[in-house]
Amino acid sequence: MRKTALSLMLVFGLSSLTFAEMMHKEKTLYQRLGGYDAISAVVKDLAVRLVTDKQLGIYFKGLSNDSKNKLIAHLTDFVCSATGGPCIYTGRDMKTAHEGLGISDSDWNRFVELTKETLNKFRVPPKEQQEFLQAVAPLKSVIVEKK
Amino acid sequence: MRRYVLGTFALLASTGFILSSCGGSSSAQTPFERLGGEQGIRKVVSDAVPCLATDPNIGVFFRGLSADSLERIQLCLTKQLCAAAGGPCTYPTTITYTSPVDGVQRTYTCRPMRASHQGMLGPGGKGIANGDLDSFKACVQKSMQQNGVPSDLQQAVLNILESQRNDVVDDRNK
Ligand code: HEM
Ligand code: HEM
Repeated sequence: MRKTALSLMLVFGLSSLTFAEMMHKEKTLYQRLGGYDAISAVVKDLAVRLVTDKQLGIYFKGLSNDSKNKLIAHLTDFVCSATGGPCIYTGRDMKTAHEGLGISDSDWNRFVELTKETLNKFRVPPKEQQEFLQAVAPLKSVIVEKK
Repeated sequence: MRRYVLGTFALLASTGFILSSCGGSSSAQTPFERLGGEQGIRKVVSDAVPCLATDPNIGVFFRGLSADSLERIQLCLTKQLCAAAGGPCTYPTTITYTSPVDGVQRTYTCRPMRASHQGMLGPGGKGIANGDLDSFKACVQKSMQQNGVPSDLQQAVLNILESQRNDVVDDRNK
């Protein structure tokens, strides 16, 4: 049995190497970001930047403390779930949550900038930053209404 | 006995008729009924939204509400006024509504006034000010005028709004 496994590994040398690599390295982005607590801290930091931002702050001026807390909780679940974590997002889908706000291309770019500022602050490595931004990139066409 | 009951019913009905045909403030009818029930209240609320959203003082508070959220708060305000005006509603309450965005049915819990309003930023960073509530009332009053609500009934609704000033105006402005 041991011998078979070994010779199989030799025959399929390349693929078993990939397999071994997968077992060893391929942690989810959620895990590599540091799990729930790290993501929660990132979201809170980003939320402060958004709410106080000169350009994007306008969207959050009419949210009560209770609503802001809910938004932070939802965003945390969303990011946890989108990065392969164990959370289930129970808020509204992204189209329903944003339609009517009139978010522009330039708003989106500012959002990306603020996200990078937060990720830098938490010393998230470039690879993980890129993966994170790639994970949210498809949402742009759903969230942005104005060119 | 049967005839007596019937007679009383007829008498009550005709009295009601006379009172309501005077257009006066019938004490038999609640403000809720006189406003035309939930539908009538909803109409007054909907027609106040353009004024609220474009008002130079308070428009900014509504800038960050998605179409779905705007629908929810109108339904919540309707429930709240329904409850306060003697209608068959309770508040806070969980509503089921059809989203204007995708036509899908969702549920939402309409929160009490403090949770709904405390801690906003608004234009100056300190949330809803006393004058903002005055602007809010002015928009609702304008909508009631447009909808032909009699002036004593307008006053009753404005009193309901006024009675919540302490919960709605931000504690930082007191
Ligand atoms: C007595 C007067 C008022 C009443 C009865 C009232 C009622 C309501 C109700 C029922 C909601 C929805 C609650 C929920 O989503 O759970 C709400 C939300 C809201 N109200 Fe009022 N309101 C009043 C005054 C004002 C004023 C003066 C302003 C601003 C100048 C304002 C701005 C808002 C905003 C922006 C929301 C959405 C808050 C959020 O989602 O975080 N309201 N209001
Ligand atoms: C320019 C970029 C963005 C702006 C200005 C923005 C703004 C907002 C605002 C104002 C709300 C509250 C709407 C309401 O309650 O009516 C909201 C909700 C939300 N947004 Fe965004 N957003 C942006 C991008 C994003 C992105 C990229 C994500 C996901 C990664 C996201 C996730 C959410 C979530 C989860 C909610 C809560 C939905 C709910 O409560 O059901 N947003 N956003």
